[in-house]
Amino acid sequence: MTDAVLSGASSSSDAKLRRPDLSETRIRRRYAAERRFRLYGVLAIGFAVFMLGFLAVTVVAQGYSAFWQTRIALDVAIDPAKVDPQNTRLPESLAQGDYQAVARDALRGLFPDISSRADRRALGEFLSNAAGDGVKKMVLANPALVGTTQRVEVLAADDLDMLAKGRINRDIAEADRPIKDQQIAWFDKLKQDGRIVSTFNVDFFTSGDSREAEQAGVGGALMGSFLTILTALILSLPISVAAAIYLEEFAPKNRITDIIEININNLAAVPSIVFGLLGLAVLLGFFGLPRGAPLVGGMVLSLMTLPTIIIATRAALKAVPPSIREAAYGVGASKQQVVMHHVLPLAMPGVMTGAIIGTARAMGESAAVLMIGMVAFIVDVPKSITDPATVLPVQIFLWADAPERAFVERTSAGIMVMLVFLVLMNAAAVVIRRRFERRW
Amino acid sequence: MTRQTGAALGMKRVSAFAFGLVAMTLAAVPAMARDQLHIVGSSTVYPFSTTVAEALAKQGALKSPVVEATGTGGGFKLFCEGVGEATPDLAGASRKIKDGEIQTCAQNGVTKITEIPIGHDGIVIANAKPGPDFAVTRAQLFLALAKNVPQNGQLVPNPYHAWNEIDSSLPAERIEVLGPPPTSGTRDAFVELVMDKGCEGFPEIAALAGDAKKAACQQVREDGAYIDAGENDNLIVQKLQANPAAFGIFGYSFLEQNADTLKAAKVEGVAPSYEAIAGKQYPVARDLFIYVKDAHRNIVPGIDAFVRELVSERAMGTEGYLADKGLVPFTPDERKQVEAATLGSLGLTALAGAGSGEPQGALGAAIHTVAGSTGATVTAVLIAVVGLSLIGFFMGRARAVAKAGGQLRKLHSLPNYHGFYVALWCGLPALLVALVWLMAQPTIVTEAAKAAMPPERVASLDENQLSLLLSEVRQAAAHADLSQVGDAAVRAGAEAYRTWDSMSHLGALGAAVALALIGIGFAYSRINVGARSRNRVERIVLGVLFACSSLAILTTIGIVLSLVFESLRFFAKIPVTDFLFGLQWSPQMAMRADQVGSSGAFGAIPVIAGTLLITAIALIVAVPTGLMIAVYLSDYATSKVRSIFKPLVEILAGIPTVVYGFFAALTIGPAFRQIGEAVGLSVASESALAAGLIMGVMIIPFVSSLSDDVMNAVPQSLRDGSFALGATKSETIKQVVFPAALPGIVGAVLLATSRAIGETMIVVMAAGLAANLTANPLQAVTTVTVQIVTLLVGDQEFDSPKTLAAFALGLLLFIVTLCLNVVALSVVRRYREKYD
Repeated sequence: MTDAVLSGASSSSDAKLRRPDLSETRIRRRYAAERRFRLYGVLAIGFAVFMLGFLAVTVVAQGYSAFWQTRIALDVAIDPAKVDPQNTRLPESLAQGDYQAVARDALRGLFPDISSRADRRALGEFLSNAAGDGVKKMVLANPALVGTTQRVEVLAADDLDMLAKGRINRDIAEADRPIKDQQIAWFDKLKQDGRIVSTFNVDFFTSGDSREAEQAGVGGALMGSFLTILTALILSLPISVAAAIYLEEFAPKNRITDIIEININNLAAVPSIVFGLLGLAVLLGFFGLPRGAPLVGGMVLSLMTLPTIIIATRAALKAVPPSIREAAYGVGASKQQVVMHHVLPLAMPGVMTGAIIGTARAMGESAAVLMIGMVAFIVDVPKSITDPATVLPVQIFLWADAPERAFVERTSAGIMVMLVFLVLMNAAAVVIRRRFERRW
Repeated sequence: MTRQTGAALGMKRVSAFAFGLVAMTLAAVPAMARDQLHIVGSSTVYPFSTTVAEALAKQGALKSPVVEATGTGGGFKLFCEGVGEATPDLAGASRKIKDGEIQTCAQNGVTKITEIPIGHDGIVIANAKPGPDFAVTRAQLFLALAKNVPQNGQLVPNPYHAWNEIDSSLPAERIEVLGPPPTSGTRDAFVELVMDKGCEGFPEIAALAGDAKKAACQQVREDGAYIDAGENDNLIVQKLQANPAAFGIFGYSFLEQNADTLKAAKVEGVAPSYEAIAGKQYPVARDLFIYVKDAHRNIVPGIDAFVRELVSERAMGTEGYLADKGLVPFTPDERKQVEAATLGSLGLTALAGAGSGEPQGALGAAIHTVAGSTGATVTAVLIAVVGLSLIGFFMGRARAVAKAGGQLRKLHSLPNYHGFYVALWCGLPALLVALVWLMAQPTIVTEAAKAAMPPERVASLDENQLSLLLSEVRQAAAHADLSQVGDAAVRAGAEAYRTWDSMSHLGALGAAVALALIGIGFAYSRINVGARSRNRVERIVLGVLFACSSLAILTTIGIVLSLVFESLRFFAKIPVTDFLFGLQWSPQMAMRADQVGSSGAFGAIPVIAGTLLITAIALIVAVPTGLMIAVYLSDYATSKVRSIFKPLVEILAGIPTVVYGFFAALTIGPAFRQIGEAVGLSVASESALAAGLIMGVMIIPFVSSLSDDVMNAVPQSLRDGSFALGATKSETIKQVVFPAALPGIVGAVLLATSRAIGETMIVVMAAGLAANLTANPLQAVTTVTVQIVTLLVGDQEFDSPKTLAAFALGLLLFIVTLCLNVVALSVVRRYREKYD
């Protein structure tokens, strides 16, 4: 009191006490710190998004061309002697025809001046060994075509495909190129005649693996991934949510609970390859489940995603404020009713976050499934969870190891397909999360 | 109190249930019939076996075979495991089968194996086109790559750092060779064909005898001049393109495909080419093999067709399609010999010309599927039980409502609980029975088939022969037209098998439905106004919850068991103390009995140090970035920005790690190296920094997403309180939100750490295999996971310490993370008590 009176008495010391300029500096400094802090956040996001964009651009630049496939438009004379060995026009006979020869003859017909065996062979290298399949499909669909001449766009071999896409450098020495000068001349002539066409590569999405790059597709791996992830999610989501509920809400504080809890945290840290070893020893060795099947892959991946979802679910359950619980108890709910009817629904966004991260991890996982025989060459698209299958990341891994140049773009295209699925999954989760997320 | 006893009761039930399950599964489950060829083995043979498999499938002769790349040793382990549908039919190998492996095979009943040499595989030494031309002798290669070299009459540690120090005719470039790791068959062949031959001319080595001589010849230097570059040859190729000074050792087919950017060195004056390798002028080439399990020819369709296709002119010939895939074919005469020998030993005729081939009808003949397959029955049971449970639910509910007579509050439990009670009684026992059936069915049916066969035929067989016979029976039952089966015993068995199989399917369905109905009846009768249905249901639910959480313990037990046995075998060969405290890791042990590797040191310290170094770098990148992202998203960003960027950042966690690996190895690694050169630092192209940085990027979402969630969960009232005191947003975050969210953030960081420690593919590609004990992030280090993968997928024998070391490393990793977690958990608990 006396101080105030005293200071009020002297006007000069009054200005000194308020020190307006100093506090302004401090506020400015605090605001600067505030802006800096905010900038760090923006920079951090920028860094993450930049890395993502950089990766995406690299992958897309390498892989986009795999979605188009070079074909050669040929006027194929469907010779009855070749495609219908029994001359009955019945599907059984037509199915045994040599359509490859028909396609080859059509290509040779365009270059009548080629006569030496070596040259004919070099020309033959233009065609994929599945070139006849397109003709076969046409003829089987319409047997009346036998004996006529049809314009068919047949599949080109991978080297020609690479040349058409400009991925083979024409300027380097002939000996260093898979495509020789003479073949380039033929190619240019075909191109001039408008016979080199580029079509959308539907087969890439529907067919299984192949040793011929132009025929290789992700269809089999996609199906394998789908079956595996489905199995994993069906097993892991309910089990891990149940486990999280038990540990967070019901478990008595005792040694067993502690052990379980440490266990789960520890499982999250176990390298995925060790889960693969577990699957190898227990699921394949002890239970005798089929090797390389999505069933086994799904079980291994579900064990792997279990801790991730449990930890996320527990965090989400913990975040539901006590007031909600107390209100529910207040109206007479039993403990299970409180948890099942009130806490869990409110925790669902958190559960979804965990499930997304877990599933994303499972989808990109290759080390664990390598151990249980899912790293295999499979032409057929798997139909059930007990068929041998491979998954997308392993397919990418296998292609990455193939010597043929054309597999480089397939590898990148496979990665693109995988990223698209990831984005779709994330988008779905965002929708779910946005509808339910709230701040207390 | 009552709730406690309920939980205890639930647990008792659950544990009884678990014991029952384990007891039932102790009876081994025989595999199902298989109609696809199963091929395993070397990744070098993989391109060729897959090509033949595809050609065969294209002919429509049979279902396309499954070809697995397991490494030669892993392939033989599977191949020799026994006979029957569960084991592979053929194994590809980049080396001859070893006596030990033949013995293992024989012990397991695989007594007849046919060996088919399929062609040559050239190993080339190549560099990028802009680099110097190169012509070496094997002696020069030996001097460049051996651990100890002769100099002035004695062996000294390799002093050469540049090629021209060895011979002035060689270029003045640093010695830097990227090659396969010691676990690889390619490395084995390189040592045998180059190092062993190259050391012969030196008197100092000739003076040595026995193992000392072998060791001197076969040890590869470990001071960084030779870089173990993993098994992916494409990666070596691309690293060479990025670094013209380096040389690579890899398969000929990769040189052929990359002829535009790479050139091969001449060895002893000969450049590698098809002709030079086939004619054996080029000295570094080996043979590849495929092994056939003869016993399977009766039980799996297509083996004969595969073999016939494989040895035919159009596949293996000089103009054959395997040559297109990079196989160096035999000369026509050699091929004819192989064909005659193979077909002769299997009693087959050669494939006629290039036509559509032999009668395939018998093979592809009407694949008869057994009436009710297991999958279909399981589905039927599931649908029936779920449907009945639903009906039970509504019945129970309706009954409760009826009993209450319109006054629902008279009921002890809500009507829904009565419904659930009935549904549970209906569903659980029925599903249990179905599960038991699923496990017991194959054994029962197989036993029935065995009983149907003439006893004198069965009695004389040993275990393996019996399993083979039963496989034949199953195969016949699944596919063949039974009237065409020649063996009367097999026919009888197959008929019994089919009968019992279809009977058991019907029986299972019937039993499940009956039990479900009984369950409904029982529970339905117990519903009345005072029935404590809610308590009963809750007890069961609690039991299920407990069972789910104890699955974690089962998993851990499974992991420990699957690691411990192999680790014990490893420690029987290598003392535990050497493993735990050894400062040197170099698994260069002999791959074959007649070889001597080097020391074969198995000291885990450098490997662990490498893991920690890379993890630390990753965390330095990920933790600040991730936390700032979380802060920004939870407290600054508008909900729109948040809803865009949060999922965008999460995508980083989903990108396959293979992609990151390529990115780190081919873009970041070389970039750091160039930057380092520009400022005068020596940076390895497999630097820990590159791998750690990319790994850090990968784990950002693990930190950011989970931290964001917990920060978001901090009550708004705390923030409002802080704002009211005049704090700015950043001050509020730093001093209020952050401490309150700390336990969750610590959890998120721990999760990210564990992910970084366990990450495999990035480090496999980017971190290399050199086990340097260093804290310098610019040097190459290796990690535990890299070593596990390399050791497991290699070509060495499965019982060698090299392979077993993988399990010891796995166990070590498991124990280390366990300890870390125990510590971390107690820390987190202390924090949580503060802020709850």
